[in-house]
Amino acid sequence: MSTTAFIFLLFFGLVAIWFGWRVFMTSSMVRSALSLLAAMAAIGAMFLVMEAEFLGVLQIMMMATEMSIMAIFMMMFMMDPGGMGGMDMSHQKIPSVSGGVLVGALAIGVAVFTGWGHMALEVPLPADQNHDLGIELMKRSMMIFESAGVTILVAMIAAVSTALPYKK
Amino acid sequence: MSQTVYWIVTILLFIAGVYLLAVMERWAIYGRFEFTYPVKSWLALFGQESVTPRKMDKVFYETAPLLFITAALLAAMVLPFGKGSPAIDLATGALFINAALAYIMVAVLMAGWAPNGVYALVGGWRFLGQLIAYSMPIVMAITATVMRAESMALPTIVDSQQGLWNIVYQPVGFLLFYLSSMAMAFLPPFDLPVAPGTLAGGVWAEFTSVRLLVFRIGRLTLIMTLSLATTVLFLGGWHGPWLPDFVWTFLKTLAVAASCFGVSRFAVRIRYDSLLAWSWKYATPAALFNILWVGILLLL
Amino acid sequence: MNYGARKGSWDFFKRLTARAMASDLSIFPVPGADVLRACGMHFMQKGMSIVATPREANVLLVAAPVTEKLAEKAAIAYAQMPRPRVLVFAGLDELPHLPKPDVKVAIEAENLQEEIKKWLTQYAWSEEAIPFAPEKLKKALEDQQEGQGHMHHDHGGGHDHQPHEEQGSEEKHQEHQHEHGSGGHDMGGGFMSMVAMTKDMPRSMDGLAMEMNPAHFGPFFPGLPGGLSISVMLDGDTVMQAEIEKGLLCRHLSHDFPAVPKEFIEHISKINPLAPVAFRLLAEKAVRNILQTANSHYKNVSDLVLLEKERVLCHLNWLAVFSHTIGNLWMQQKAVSLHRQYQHGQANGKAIVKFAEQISKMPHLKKRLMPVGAIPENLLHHVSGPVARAAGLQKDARMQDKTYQELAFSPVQEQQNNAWGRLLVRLAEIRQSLQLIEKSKKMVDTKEKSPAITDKVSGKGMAQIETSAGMASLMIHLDEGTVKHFHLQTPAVSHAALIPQVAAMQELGDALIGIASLDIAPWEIDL
Repeated sequence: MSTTAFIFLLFFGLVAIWFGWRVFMTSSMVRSALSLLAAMAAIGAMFLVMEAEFLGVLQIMMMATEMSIMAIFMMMFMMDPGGMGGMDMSHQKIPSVSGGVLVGALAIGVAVFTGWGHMALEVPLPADQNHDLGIELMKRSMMIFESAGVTILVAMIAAVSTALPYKK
Repeated sequence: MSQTVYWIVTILLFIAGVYLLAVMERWAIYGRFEFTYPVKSWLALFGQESVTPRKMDKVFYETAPLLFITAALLAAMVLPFGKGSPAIDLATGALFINAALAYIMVAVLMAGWAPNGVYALVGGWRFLGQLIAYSMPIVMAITATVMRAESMALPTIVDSQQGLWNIVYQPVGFLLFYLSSMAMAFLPPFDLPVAPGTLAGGVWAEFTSVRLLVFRIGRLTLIMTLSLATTVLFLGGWHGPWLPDFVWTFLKTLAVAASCFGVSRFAVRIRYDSLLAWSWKYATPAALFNILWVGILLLL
Repeated sequence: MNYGARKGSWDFFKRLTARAMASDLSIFPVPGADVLRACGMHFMQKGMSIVATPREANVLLVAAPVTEKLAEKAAIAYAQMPRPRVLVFAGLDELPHLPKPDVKVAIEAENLQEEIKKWLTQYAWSEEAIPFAPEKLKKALEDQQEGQGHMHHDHGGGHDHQPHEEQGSEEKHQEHQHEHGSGGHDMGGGFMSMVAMTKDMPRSMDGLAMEMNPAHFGPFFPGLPGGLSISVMLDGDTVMQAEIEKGLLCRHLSHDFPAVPKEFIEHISKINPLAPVAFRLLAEKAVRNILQTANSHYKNVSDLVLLEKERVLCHLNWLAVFSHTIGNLWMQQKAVSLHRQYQHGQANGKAIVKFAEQISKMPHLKKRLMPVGAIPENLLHHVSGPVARAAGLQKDARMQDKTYQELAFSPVQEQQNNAWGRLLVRLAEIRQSLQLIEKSKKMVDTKEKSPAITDKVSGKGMAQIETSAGMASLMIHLDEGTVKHFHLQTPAVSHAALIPQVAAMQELGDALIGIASLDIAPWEIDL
């Protein structure tokens, strides 16, 4: 990896962390959701820097819609969506802090102690990546993706049907 | 032609296109052609005092117009004007257009939330609903063109249409892309977020001066970008006899934009729930049919 | 004292900008574009356009009639305009709340554009520029800072930036916090229970607890008749409640009126600036009924022509507003230009009839308007005019008129109690009125004069007339040739009473279309 690419990677990584931090440091639901979007887009940019073009573009695209939809739900269901009422939204502080620390430690552990294999020195061309990804999706990983897709579809149908008004 | 000259010509053509679109927009509203109108109006906005709402979300308020125009320009960057490569030649160009344009919605949402007013807020959330209506048809229409070219790179997609343009090859896809891009640019009849008669400016109601100017030019850029995308994906891009390649792209793009304004002049604003109903009941199945159709044609 | 200019000294770029502004005038009309059109101001010429919000405008054009309360709202709209801005009075000298006008012209003045241009190129930037803050706004801000209760924070012009969260529901939040605090102790872990917190909140139609937003539409809202102001409660963008704001246009017309019948007739004609002829004829008719002197045939026919011409104009004017509400650019522009031509006697009937036909054939329009604006069956007997005739009621004051009977008049009818039916009826009535005018031309050949109103008589007189919006009736009491008192019933009053029914539980756009389809002239409500 070239130095420039490394600097960019570091930069986008820090941006992602900064916005991830901002998610929790605001009382405005929409700000919080869009901060998360910014963090996700920064991660997408990291993918781009690492020359995983498809993954990067996909991440940037999907997150825009997803986070915005999340924002509207947060706004609908929270008591003080604008954060202007000065309401304290934290609760169960001790369990949540300890849970956070635990999961964080676990994630760092996984990152550090996993054998990641050799560093890839040659990255295939983006067009080849797309091709390989397509083959992968249609061959080895087909089962996983199809079952994940069907599960999501079932969840969606279930959610819609529970949202339908109750008829006597 | 050297590369530099080519780029200068392309950029100038794009700017000229945006200017002509401003004239067309004026025509769509007042039914008269005023060729000096855009420069006057933009200059006038530039000289205006900027008024800001008292209790606003400052970050969003400042970011929204910039994000709006940036998203439109980023999408324009990957679209090839002539045989040479586009500004950013991506192997995933077709997907990238969609990725960049998703941020149009984010910008409108921010603009709706920031000023802390009812009209803007309603307009902003309405556009999110609108996105749920247009995003499926538009992405699936793009997918079908990608299928034919067997590549997501836009120059390859243009090349794939050398014999037969996609508008003939997959007319359903074209129609879906055309209407969805009008919805994305919130042109009437899809002008729900700004709705002059019911929201009095809606999302833009609290923006003045340079910020409003950025939004206005941003919207024109967006329409230009979407028309260019229609040209590249469905109208054979630069293909055409006699004239140089970039001239063909330019003319086709203007024709698409003009037809959009023509449709918008005579349409009646759609209710967002009918828009969603049409999208999910008719447009999404039609887009799936289009994918099937192209798939069958490819296998024949 | 210069409220219109931006602070600063002139330089080359500013001169250029001012010139650009002068050739692209964005006008925000007060009390409304429809009233201005009725006064003969259409702004069809190059370099002028009417805009939807004061934020986009650089000219605030105030034309008669403007009441004190309306001037207060106009002042707020003026304060919202970005500078450089021009305040123009057309046919007015001065108004309370608003500063001195930068440009003063007569109504329908030809030099309007020139005068504004001149002002902008000379005074757009000035060292003496000071900000303008109307009293009401200042007070509202002070209240806000002191944090005393909720203030009704209306910014006029329908463009209030009522802060969404914190203002309308400040108290509510505090309550919740309180509840949260104590609830937390009860449950030990401090778990937030949504059920407990939302139990007292109003429910939406789907049963979820939501906070509602108050919003104002009017009195200068582009999609509603000028002067009409409606305050609504929004749940998301569903209108939960809508009511008309009363008293804005109060001109004390029902208290201070001249006693001399001739002047009284003029006085009554001022009631609705959109339909002066109809009200003048109504008053004339009522006076004549006391005198028991019939009009000459010639006068009757020419009255009919005047009334029908005004009906065509009013319907076209309504169409211009309505097309703005439904968001059709072509229809709006065409309606405005035909209105202008017909007002100047330039349009031939054929063009208008063709326009009406084109509208009735427009794609999607029928489907869009059919589900909108239905009036409950049990309230239908209150309505009159096109609204009633669209619902299939044969109500028309013209049926009792002899002159109309001679022309074999029968009212237009539809069986559609919705916005589409009302549109169709008005389009058909435009055609019918044009035909009536044509037919009546053949009816008279001699000009005979009607007997003058001079006798000093006493008695009560009653008259009815079919205005473009519905039936208006007037009862007057004459004593020795002087008007003692009068009682006026106008269609707008009963139609305005339907606003809550038409708008409630509707999507915002539908609610506004429904209200616009009723053709309520607010002037007839606040006399």
